[in-house]
Amino acid sequence: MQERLQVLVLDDEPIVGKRLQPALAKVGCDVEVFDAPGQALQRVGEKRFDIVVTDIRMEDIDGIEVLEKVLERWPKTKVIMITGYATVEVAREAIAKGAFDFIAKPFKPQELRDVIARAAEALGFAGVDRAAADDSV
Amino acid sequence: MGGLFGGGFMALTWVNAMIVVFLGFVGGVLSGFTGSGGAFFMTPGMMNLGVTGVVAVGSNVAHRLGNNLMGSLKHAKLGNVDKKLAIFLVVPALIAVRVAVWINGRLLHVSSGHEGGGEGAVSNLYISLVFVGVLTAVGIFILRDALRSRDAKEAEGPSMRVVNFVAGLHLPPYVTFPVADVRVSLWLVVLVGLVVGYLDGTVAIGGFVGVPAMIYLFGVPTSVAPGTELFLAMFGGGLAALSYAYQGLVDLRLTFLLLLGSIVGVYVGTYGTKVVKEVLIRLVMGSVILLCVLSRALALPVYLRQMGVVRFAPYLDAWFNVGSTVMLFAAGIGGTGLILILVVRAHIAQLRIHSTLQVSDPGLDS
Amino acid sequence: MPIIFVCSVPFGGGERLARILAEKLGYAFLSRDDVVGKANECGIPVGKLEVATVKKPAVRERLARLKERYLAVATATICEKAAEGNLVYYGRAGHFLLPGVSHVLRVRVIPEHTQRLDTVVQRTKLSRGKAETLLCDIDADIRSWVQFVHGVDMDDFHRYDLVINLEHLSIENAAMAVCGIADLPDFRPTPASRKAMEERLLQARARIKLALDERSADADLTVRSNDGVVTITYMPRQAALASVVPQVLHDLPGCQELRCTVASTNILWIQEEFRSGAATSGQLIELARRWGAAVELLRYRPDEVDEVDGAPPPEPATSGTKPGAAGGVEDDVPETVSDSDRAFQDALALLVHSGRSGGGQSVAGNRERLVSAINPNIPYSLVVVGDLFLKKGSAVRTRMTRELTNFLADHIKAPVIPIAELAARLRFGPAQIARLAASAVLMVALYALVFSHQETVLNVLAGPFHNAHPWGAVALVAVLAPLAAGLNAVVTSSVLRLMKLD
Repeated sequence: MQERLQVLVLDDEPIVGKRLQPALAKVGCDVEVFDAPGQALQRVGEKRFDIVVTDIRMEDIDGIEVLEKVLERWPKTKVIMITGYATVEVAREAIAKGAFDFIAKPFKPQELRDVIARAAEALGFAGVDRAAADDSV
Repeated sequence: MGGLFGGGFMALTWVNAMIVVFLGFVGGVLSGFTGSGGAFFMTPGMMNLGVTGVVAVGSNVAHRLGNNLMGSLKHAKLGNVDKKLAIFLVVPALIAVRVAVWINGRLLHVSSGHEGGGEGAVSNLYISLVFVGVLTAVGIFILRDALRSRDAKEAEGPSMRVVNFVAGLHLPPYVTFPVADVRVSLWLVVLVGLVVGYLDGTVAIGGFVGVPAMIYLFGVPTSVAPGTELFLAMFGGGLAALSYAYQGLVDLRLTFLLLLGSIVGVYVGTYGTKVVKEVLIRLVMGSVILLCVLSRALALPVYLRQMGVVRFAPYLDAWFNVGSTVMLFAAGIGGTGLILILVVRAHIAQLRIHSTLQVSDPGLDS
Repeated sequence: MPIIFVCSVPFGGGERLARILAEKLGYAFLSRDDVVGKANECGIPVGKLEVATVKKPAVRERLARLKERYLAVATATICEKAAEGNLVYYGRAGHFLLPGVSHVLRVRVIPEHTQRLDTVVQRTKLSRGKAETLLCDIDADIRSWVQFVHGVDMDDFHRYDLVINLEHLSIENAAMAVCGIADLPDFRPTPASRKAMEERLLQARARIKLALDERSADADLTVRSNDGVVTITYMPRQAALASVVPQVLHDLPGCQELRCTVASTNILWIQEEFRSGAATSGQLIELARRWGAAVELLRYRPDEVDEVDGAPPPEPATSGTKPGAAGGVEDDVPETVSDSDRAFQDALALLVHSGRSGGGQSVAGNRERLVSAINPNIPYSLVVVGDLFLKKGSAVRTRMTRELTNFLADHIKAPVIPIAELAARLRFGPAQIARLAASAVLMVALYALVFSHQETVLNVLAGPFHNAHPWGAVALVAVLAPLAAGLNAVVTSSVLRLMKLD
């Protein structure tokens, strides 16, 4: 059977999720999009995602906390942080806390797809569609 | 034709001597324009003239002896050479050069034993294959990078994934290089050194791999990478040249003729980089490289036939050769012509915008 | 009162010290976060710089433009805030933004390690071991960030006025000590240093405007400002900018005049006096024309001669030697314009007239001051050291000029040459002709020899002689190939120089 990558995207700006959803679905991911951290965490409690993509700077719960909660519940999940307000300190903290990777906004969907492909590889998903990620050598 | 000695050295006539000078000029322009050496044009050009591949490579490497020396001294003065990195790269590169020259020398003496002047065919085929293989990759890489960076304003680099992948590998021991301000796995450095040395020794195009590898794999600043590469080429290329000379595979006459054209060419090409947009530089370079590759690929069947691997009528050799030569010259003349036109046009434009544009804003004086 | 820059690595108490200081002195407080926020507001994604710092090896050259914009925003934000009143700034290395501004107190805070670790553990809830690694990584990142963005070593303590080690000193007491120092007259603003700051602000604003306008956003421009004159240089391949730049900058506050120069390279010319009619101005334009370069003039007056020979500081700020105030441009402040000022302006005007101006500035003081006045972000292809130390005797002058040249060469990335050498390079006199002739004759002889004795040459290279003595071929190639290359290069470059095309 074909295993599809389960991806959760969390960003308090709904436009981000709206844009990422099709971009990731194209490469064979099942994407769920949230713009409220609370709801997203609740969903994480119910279902195991392979990859969680989260913004860092959000209103009530920040991305670092989401990272911690997700990893607490599913230690194998790969968490990718995206943010427009990256600093060395936050990036390093996220990495120290087990984030898989860190992307600064603005980024192209391809950048995220590349990181997701790597995460999938690390998870042992051999069959991730890399067709759209073909612009790497 | 028929060589004077050993079969590899051709008799020089005024016509083919002039062609070699022209090859040198085009190679020089391309090399000055792209900063990566013009061997990708000169070597196949000489092979099309009937020079044995190994001798073409040897003569070409010898012609770079002086240039590399002066170039690296200049870079060293400007502080654009990471000496530590260069030394770490030179050691494996020298070993690889020796191996590459040894392979080339051995293959030359492999007699294919089939009809039709098979001597050197194996060697020619080998050189051509390495040439085609490496330069296809390089050409596509450059072209795609150029095309992509044209529409993306802040391109992230040709392939951040490779960079990230390499960065993700953890291969101790790590070595820190102070001038370039990078920390790289020793294994990676040795690997790059070996590849560059091998390519320098086999087809004299190590720079094509060395510079991008340093920039994208090691994270060396773009100002330091070419200087360090030249430093490396000074030793690697020098050793290759002398090794080929020892084996009797350098035709000094060709070297001299190449020099006659290439040094003027380099000046023209370097001037070109000042007035031409970078994207265009890459487009020209990528296209010329790919055309050179195609031209070389057209010559492959001839060698295969000489070795007896494929069979077709020997008179077809001439057709393949002509096709290959025409394509190569079309690439060279097209590329160089375009650069020359751009240079002249830019020069005229610069003469025209002579006066400084002055705009005063009196409204703000008070 | 000075602008106080407090620099430290994060979580080290530096920010708290800066805040306390601001409160005690009643100064405004500005931090790096504010600057970053402002940059993000302007659409400059500073986060990319940060992430690139963490994720090495990245291709950092691609970030050069971003870096330049960040620096411009940071400069503008700090200068604007400082213009409103006194200011304490907390950041990584903000004081590097204001070279030439002397009313700046540069404080470096060295944190107390255990306390810093506690802070991090408490804030991040990481284990101590992990927190330790985290701090190590962050410190290394910030060091490399400062190196990349400002091009300096953050831990070079020569670059601070005051280094505070919090190991034995409480933050409150440290703040008290800094208060005392901030009061010293040494750090009071002088007209010159105020002026220098205005220039920085003008330059930064021009840069930001150009960066934010989509017509000029993609161009790599060099922006300089001096006495309200903003000079923009751009590469010949960006010729379309000629009309765009004035449109973009037409309402730049404080800009009295705008000059645009097309140049493929930049030359910096350092000299004490630019007497009109001097041979140097002719040389200068000649050089600029040949190289397609923009020439930036830097009038350097080593008035306060540094401790080299312990000379008494001659003529303080009496004869209008305010650095930067050299212009007859300002109308509202009547000033006596000295002859040398006028000569400087004339030299500048000459350059402007011939379309080769890269701007100009005046600097006085010791040689560190001179180096700090040279913008490290401009890729000069040549720095020419002209006549300096005019008040000294000729022997002393030669020695000091030589010393200064060496000092500059050590501190600037561009090649630095004294003017005498430049003149020798440009001249095409009998010596050069002789050289060209000799090389040409040698070259022809060499080629004739090789091509008229092809049999012999080939014999040594690959014939029977080679079979017996393979090293003969090696020696032949090792000697003749570089020799031919060298002769070729000399002839070609000489001919090109003769045609004035180098």
